[in-house]
Amino acid sequence: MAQDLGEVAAALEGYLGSEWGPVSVGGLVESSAGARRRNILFDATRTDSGEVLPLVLTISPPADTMVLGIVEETTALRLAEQKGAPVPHLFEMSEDPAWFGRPFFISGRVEGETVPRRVLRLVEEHGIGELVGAQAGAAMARIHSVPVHDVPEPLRREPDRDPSTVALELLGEKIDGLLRPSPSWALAMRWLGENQPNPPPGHTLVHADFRNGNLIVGEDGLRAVLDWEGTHTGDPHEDLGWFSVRTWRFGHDAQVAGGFSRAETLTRSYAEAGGDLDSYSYLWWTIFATLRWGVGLSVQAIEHLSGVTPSIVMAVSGRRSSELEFDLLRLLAGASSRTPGGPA
Amino acid sequence: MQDRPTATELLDVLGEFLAADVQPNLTGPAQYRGRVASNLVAIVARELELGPAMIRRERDLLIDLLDVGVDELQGEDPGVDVLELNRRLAERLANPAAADPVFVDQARSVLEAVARDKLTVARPGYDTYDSAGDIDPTGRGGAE
Repeated sequence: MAQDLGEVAAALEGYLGSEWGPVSVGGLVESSAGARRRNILFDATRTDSGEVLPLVLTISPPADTMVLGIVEETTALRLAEQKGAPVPHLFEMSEDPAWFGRPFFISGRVEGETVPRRVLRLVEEHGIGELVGAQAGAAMARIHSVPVHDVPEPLRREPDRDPSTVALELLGEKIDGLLRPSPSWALAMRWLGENQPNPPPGHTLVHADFRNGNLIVGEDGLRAVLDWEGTHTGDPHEDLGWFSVRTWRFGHDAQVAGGFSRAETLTRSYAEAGGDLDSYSYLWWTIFATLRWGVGLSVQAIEHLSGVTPSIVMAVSGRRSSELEFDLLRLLAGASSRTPGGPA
Repeated sequence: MQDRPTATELLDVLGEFLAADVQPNLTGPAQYRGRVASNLVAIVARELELGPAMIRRERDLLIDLLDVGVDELQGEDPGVDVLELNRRLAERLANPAAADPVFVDQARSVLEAVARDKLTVARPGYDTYDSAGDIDPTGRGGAE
């Protein structure tokens, strides 16, 4: 049974009291974002100084092999912050189940909009789409400046192998487990296998779910990158490609970079902030990402049908994979004549 | 024969009920699920109308592409045939030696036609945007 907000407040006062000295906790609000884990917004007031800290409690979901442990996730968050990426500051992390029954962390609360369509409305109202696209590129470059040898072992994904090969293997296993044969996925896998990009100069930290929905945006632009639960090491172009999947444009199709800006705005800013950009790799990883999300939607349908996560949203996801099939087949039509070339 | 309303007419009234009486009373995450539910009703209604012709079209396209004899197929239920034809096509595309570039290109065109068809049920209008040129692999206008 999940704790109610009163129990959560009491546990927070107990935990923070033991770490920080006397603290009172109030203003708890359960955030609807995050399908699996609980995010609770709250204010902590230090009894001695009266200082008020706006914070977020994140409680990890029941053991789930798909999601990183909280130690690994918060390590990635810290590494990204050290490199200057906009992320919520991490205050506390604990695996002690005594407080909330599950591992948890407490981070700074960054004000702003996270719901994708509202984010895009805000961006449109303030005319800051190109700005956010550029800020996303710069944020990715900072995340990718974390080299693989700084990243703790559990986050490293086969640092001695070509990341595109490893990614194709992992996705191939998922495709093998789908309910119906998909010639579109097979066609895309074939193209991806025949046209692999050059491996990156070095493996880096990759966020792996960098997109509208996991970003906090305000009138001044991008404020924070959230949801580090899938992070791993690999080819940094994976993040640029995932960000550019049409689904994450939420109807703003012509704004290829996340629904915010032109692709060139993203790539130019990425390179200016020190990112090592290869244009062909960006194309390849965008096609890969489109396939990955198409397969991901089919997997959601399985999770619904098998009873693992029965949900009307997951059920309808199964029918959304035709969107990704279409995007994939058009991307392949545009790319089929290209071969991996040298640097742009 | 069932009495009126038809299945389509029943779905119409279900959709109207969701929009008029259910949606306005939902809050929080349920609000989103409510919109998904309305969308689901619309998908099923379109599938009832368009599905039967669509599955026959897909079967014919795949038979042509794979050059399958009609006697090789079950033939009564086009859905069963299409499943089998998709299995064969996926298998052939996954085998590097079993498909030459011309066949792969033909397969891509057929699959695109099928995907456009599926979208008329799942998400009408989605195929009016073409992502073929989204990412320029030469990086023109990008970072030099």
